[in-house]
Amino acid sequence: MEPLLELRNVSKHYVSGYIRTNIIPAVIDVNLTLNRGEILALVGESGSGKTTLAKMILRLVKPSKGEIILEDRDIYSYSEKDYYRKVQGIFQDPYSSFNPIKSVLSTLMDAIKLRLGRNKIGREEAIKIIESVLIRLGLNPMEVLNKYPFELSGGQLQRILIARSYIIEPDLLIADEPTSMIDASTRLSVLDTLFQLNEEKHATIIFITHDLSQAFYVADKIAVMYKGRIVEYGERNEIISKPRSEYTKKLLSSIPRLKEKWFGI
Amino acid sequence: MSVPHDDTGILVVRNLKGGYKTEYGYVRAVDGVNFDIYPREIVGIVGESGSGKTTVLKLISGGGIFPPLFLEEGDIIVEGINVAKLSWSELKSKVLGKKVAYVPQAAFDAIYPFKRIWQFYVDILNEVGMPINKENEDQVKQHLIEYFKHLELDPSLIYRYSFELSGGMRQRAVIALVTSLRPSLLLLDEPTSALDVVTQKKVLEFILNIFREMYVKSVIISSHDVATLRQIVHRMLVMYAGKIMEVAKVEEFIAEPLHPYSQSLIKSLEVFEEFKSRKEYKPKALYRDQTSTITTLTIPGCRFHLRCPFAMDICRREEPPFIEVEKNRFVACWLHVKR
Amino acid sequence: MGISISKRRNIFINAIRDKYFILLLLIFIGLVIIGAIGPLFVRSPTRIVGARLQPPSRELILGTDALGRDVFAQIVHGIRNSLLIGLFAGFIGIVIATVLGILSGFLRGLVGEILSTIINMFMLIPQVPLLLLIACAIRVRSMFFVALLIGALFAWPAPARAIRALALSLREREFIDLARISGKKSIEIAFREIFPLILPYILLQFGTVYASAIFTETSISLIGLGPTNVVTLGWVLNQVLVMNAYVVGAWWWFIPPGIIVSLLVLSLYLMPLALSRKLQQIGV
Repeated sequence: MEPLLELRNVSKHYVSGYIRTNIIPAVIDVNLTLNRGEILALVGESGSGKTTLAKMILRLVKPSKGEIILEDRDIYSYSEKDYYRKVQGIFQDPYSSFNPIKSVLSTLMDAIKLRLGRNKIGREEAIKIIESVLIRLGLNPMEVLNKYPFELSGGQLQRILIARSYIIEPDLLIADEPTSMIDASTRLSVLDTLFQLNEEKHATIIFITHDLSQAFYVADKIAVMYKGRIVEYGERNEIISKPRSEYTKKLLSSIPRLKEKWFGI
Repeated sequence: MSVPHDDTGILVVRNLKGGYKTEYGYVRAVDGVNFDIYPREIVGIVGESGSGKTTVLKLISGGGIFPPLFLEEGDIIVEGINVAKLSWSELKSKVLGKKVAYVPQAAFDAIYPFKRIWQFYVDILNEVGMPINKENEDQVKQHLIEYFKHLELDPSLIYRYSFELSGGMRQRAVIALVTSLRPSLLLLDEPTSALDVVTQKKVLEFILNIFREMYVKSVIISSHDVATLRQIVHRMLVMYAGKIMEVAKVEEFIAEPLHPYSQSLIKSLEVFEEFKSRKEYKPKALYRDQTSTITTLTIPGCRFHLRCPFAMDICRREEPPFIEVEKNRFVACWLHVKR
Repeated sequence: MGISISKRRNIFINAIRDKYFILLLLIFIGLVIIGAIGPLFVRSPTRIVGARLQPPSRELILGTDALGRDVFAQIVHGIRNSLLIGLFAGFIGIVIATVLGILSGFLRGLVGEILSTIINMFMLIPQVPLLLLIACAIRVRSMFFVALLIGALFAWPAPARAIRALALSLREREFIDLARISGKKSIEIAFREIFPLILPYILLQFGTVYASAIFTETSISLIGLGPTNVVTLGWVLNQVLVMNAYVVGAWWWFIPPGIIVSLLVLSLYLMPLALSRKLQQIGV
């Protein structure tokens, strides 16, 4: 089976100031391989470079060095439309992911346009497709379609973003901390919705999180990032039982658990 | 409505209502809240954003005087003094710093970056009505250095600028500064939310240490993360949409949460606890989606009924009473009301 | 800016209730009415209707100027023409400012930098020397020509900078990323996503631009470089200067134009300020 996505020696550094003296590395020498249908969890704290990496895969940021290969081709060899039919993203803050003055319907119509091309489909039909996707994902179209983002909850908005990806049917979905700004009690149902995408549409998912325990729940493979580098990378079960990097071990021992008591209170 | 009737606590809150007044309207973020805090305990207030937990802490520390925050009604009695009825000058002289110290979320982030830590301390002293003059400055610095050493913090920190410290160091520094005044009650609003997991642990340990060393009598910590709070609190208070849903000892809370909202919180954490994989374990999504804050605050009946899988007819019509089901174990839920 | 369209109308209605805004609006509307229908009821401003330098009388409300022309008629016509020129110039200016502002703020790389530099260059153009040159070259200037000049050269750089700053700040928001990964091209994003969001601000800016256009026209007419075929308030002031109205003490001639120009410019300039201050109070 040939891999879907390959990252070869990918690096990104930022240069500050007009005099270009300060070089700030964000991502250093990342190598990753992802097969179709897999879910990879990218774990790291803020500043680890995980979001920059996500943006590079989404073609929002250009790598300073290295290549990103999708289905055997460099990602920049695709046209924009072709690329975004294959690769999609979900961002952390559901409220700022939507244009505040566009209704949910309007935003989802953009997704239909990407998938099917402009004007190839009537408005009525498009709305039908949108409605069926929403229902499939447990949302009531009557409740959300004509609303504006501020009228809905974070969980609903994230589900709508997943619905958007559902409409586009990408091969690869990058989810950047999709549950960190959501009510803990809603988290599971949002994750479930993501899994539907993976199971029903065979989307490969890169799940970015700072929460190692969520990563264990979600992933087949795990990559741990620290200060721009990947310090641990492997199958999920291996990492739980035999973490190799000191940083991973530290992370593991710092996860607050209900069943554990750190300080003996 | 049955309310806790034991008045021995160092903090007694009765029927507290308050919120935010804007030109656009008044939002009641805290809607009739009753609880007690006893000496020598750490209590966690758990709730999502919009639950009112931050507003409660602000009101307790006397913030109800400053718009847009507004204390509508209720009593807040700290060691015999009713904070709700005090003027600003009385608050400064009698309460702030000595009885109550409040540390807001991400305290150091919104502050003028060009001050050194010891200068912040001078500011705090001014705020609580204990201003110092030039002669005492050295004494104050000395006092700070001793205190930091005692807490195992690097004393040279007091000469640094706030931006030179990492998030975790900053948080510990602020907590150290306010507790050096030995307040009876320490209020911490989401003290670890902005920190990474490893630093979180250190800060929690730090807070516990301050409690054990008796620099404060009791601590109230608000957070949205049950697992984090669980590590250092004795009791848990659950807030949802401006009301308290449940109060319990932390062990009881985790073993047997009574309120459906508490159950949903514990359940969603348990899934991750076991390090189960998604392939092994598919929890049934029992709980309907959260509605927007405005909807939640304006519906009749129990605030949680739209999401509750056990909602009965009465839940939709009437708000459940806040009942003491066992000693110091409270729930606001119709399921626990005996007919 | 997380507010829906219907909520926005509500907010606007609330904001408009500000007493300063209403006062300014009334002043402005009053002047517009005078400018709109006034000229139908007054004499021609350039015809000699009486003796020179006559103080106000029942016949001639503001007396006559040094050539015996009706000062009141001049003011009324002046209001209309100044308003029209300002409107035209302001409109051209705000359109250019919007396009250049959004594009220079939103487009990255060389194009954005070049556009930004263009804006800055235009800000530095010295108005008077340029106008002198143009006035020498083109002796007969219609009001439309002058409006075009003002709009295309002077009125747009400052608002363009402000709009650019806004576009720059919006560029980093996550919904812009979402628009990009929806396959939208930069220009499309600039005008379909960012422009509607900035529109309220642009409308507010229009008031300011309009005011500054009127002020600019008045200043250049004052020094005789304005339109040659119509009467504007600036032109009246020019006559006042050239014919030494002040020296001869013809107060009915030199005081009114100044007051009217001030009212016009200030009311237009301050209305957006009052509105935005009120919106800030509301917490928008």
